[in-house]
Amino acid sequence: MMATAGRVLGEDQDVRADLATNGCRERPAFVGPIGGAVFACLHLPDKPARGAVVLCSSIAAEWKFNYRREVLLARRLAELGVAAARLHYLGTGHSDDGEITFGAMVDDVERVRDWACGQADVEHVVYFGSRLGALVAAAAGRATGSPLACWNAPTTGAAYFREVFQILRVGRLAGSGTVDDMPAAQDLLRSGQPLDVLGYTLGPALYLSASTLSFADELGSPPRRVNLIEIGDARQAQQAAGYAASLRDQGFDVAASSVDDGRSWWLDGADAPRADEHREAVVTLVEETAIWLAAAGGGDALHGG
Amino acid sequence: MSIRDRVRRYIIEDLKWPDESSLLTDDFSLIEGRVLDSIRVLSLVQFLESEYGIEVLDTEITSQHLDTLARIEEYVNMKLAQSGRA
Repeated sequence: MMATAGRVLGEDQDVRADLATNGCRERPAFVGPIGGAVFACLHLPDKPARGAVVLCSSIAAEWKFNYRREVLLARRLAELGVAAARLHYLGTGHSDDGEITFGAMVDDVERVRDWACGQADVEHVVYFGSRLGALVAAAAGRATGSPLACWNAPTTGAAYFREVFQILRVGRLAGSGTVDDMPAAQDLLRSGQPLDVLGYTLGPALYLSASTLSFADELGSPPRRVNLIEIGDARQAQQAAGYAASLRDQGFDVAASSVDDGRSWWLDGADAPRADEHREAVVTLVEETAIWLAAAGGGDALHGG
Repeated sequence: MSIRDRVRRYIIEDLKWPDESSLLTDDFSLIEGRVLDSIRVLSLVQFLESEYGIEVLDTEITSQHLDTLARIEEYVNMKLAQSGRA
């Protein structure tokens, strides 16, 4: 082991001392080689884990907005006997630098998944994804057909970015009142230039690599078990229910539910962190998601639980 | 119900219009007057898409199209005409 400023580096990973929370342990680590290490945090139960969940966050303001909720989800999963791994994609957060592409995000998840399974001594993995992270989660578990739960999964990458572009325009319009000097967002990205979305940079590589994807394609072959949870107003819930029905028609095993909460993750993300975790909608969201994931992720009967 | 009346009802009921409904006239400035914040403008855009089956391009999110009920109706009619559903 080699000590450097602020962290201890191993050959391919750096495991910091466990932190204790609610009887569970939290193990932050840098996974991967120096210069390409992904920051991860593994939430471990106080007993041998029955399985593992990998949490795939969204990006930029949505990542920030959702951060606390995902911490709470991971902690609750550990309390329920399932190991839960969170991560920062390369080029974001505490992770080393790297170009953010969809493929790189999936690679990061798979690397952390393998590390987490080794640390927790489990083989059975399920996935969680929020917003763009839902596409990542779908792709990461496609080869094994692993179950996944999602918050506000986009139907396609194009639909996701279209909403981001709308948010950018709306933010400018409601702020300065003028958008006349703004170029078309996708033209800018297609020309290889980054886009500033209300203070967050969206790189052309991510846009180009993810905008042609669809959630259904990333799920792979049916029947795959999916829990689609839509957080929003009644109109969004209705649209999500319609999409869930179309996935069922394609043979997927889809559960769908909604949580009434009208906030915009991207627009509200600018104000994060916000202490909203005690609101009933958030408590219900985290609890119901954790219970579903724990049931789906508790497949390693070897350890009981 | 006309487009402008349907949108007016949406703004009053769903976006929680804070004043007397009679103040929300056809020419009342929603955006340039800073009446709708960014989240409400986004909600309005998404409402127009789902209610009228149109796709609001990001380049079409301008005060020229969305600032007043009259402009919104004109914009929606234009989109419906473009799709052959006017």
